[in-house]
Amino acid sequence: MKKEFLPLLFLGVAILLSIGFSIDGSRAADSSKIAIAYSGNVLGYMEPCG
Amino acid sequence: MVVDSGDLLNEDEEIPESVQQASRLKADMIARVYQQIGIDAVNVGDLDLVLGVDYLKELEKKHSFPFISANLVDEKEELIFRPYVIKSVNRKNIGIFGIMGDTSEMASKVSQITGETVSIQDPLKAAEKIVKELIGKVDYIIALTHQGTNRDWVIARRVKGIDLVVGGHDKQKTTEPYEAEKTLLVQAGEKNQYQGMLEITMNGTRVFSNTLVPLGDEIGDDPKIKAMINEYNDKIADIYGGSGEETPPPANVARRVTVCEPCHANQVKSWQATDHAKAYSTLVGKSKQYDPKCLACHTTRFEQPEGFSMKAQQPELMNVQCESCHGFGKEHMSEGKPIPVAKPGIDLCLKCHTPDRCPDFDADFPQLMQKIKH
Repeated sequence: MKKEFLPLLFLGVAILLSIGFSIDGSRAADSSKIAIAYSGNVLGYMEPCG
Repeated sequence: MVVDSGDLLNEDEEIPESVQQASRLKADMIARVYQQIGIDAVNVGDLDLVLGVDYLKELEKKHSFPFISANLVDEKEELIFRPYVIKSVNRKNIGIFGIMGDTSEMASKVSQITGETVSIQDPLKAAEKIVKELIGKVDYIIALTHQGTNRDWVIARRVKGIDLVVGGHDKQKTTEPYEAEKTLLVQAGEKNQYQGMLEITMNGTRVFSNTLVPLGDEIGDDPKIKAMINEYNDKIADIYGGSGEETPPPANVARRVTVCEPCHANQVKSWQATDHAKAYSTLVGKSKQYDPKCLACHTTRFEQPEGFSMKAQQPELMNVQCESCHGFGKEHMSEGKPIPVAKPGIDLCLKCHTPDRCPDFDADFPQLMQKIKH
């Protein structure tokens, strides 16, 4: 099975958390910007089965 | 700010009774995870409703998990969820409202899923009402929609004042946001292959940059989130009879395939060398052997009559055995009737080898078939 994508919701969350922190940083630096992290159709996906 | 356009918690239109508990545990965990990251709003998708309105309300209360919908109503025509939320970011007020499409297909699906207790009101009228209410109160208006891109274009053009539509349902991936006059339209694909990130400059120009961040295995685990996954794996292991430890499947149990072997010895021998014959072990290696979403493709005839079931956890039906592809062989064996599916086609394979798991399966199909030829 090819694994070009290993779509990991929770690894995604990890990046989201790290992005979130960087967003907070940029907010402090440039108050005219807003950053929106968006998702959809996650479908209860967690991480690859195996 | 973090938002989701719906169908977050569940994939199936029907959840078998034996899987209900696992599905709710998973939904609960996802809610906890999103609470942890500080989710601002989640639009209700049709597949979220499969878990039950009461359960969604329970999750919302338990985890401060904000579901929104401006056009899902109960039997008294009253809104079930709050229609919008207003969030403050960098001294800017952002209004976020939720919409579900009202195609006849969607309306019928929602009616069926909820036992006719939930219906969908006109999304355009609902959006117009909410936007009218929000204008003057907020600096930016986001519509989280669950209706597909074509209808997103309509709502963006017809309802003036929406700045951003975060779409869903048709699983599109917009690397470059669409621009419907002053409204941006984005969608982040499916199954968290990507995290959409949009940055808007709020100085009157509304310059934007959009990125779809691929969520691959190069991104490390977050320890807190990983702990939540482990806790979920342990809980479902407890429920369905395992210990949660990585124990291999029992080797001394006669597999279902052994009843085929006397007449199809060569085919069984070929099968034994394939990954289909080891499918269950791969789950054990990742503590996923009690996850119904995984078992569906790693066992034989999952939750079908006399197939592998969550309750029974039959060792003889572990792995992808003959009947996974060729159909239930009971009458073939007892009455000599032809096997239901003599030559399975690609459609059957694609039920498990989905594009997110196997991106090039279509193109590689002839070579892949050679690997399992028997």
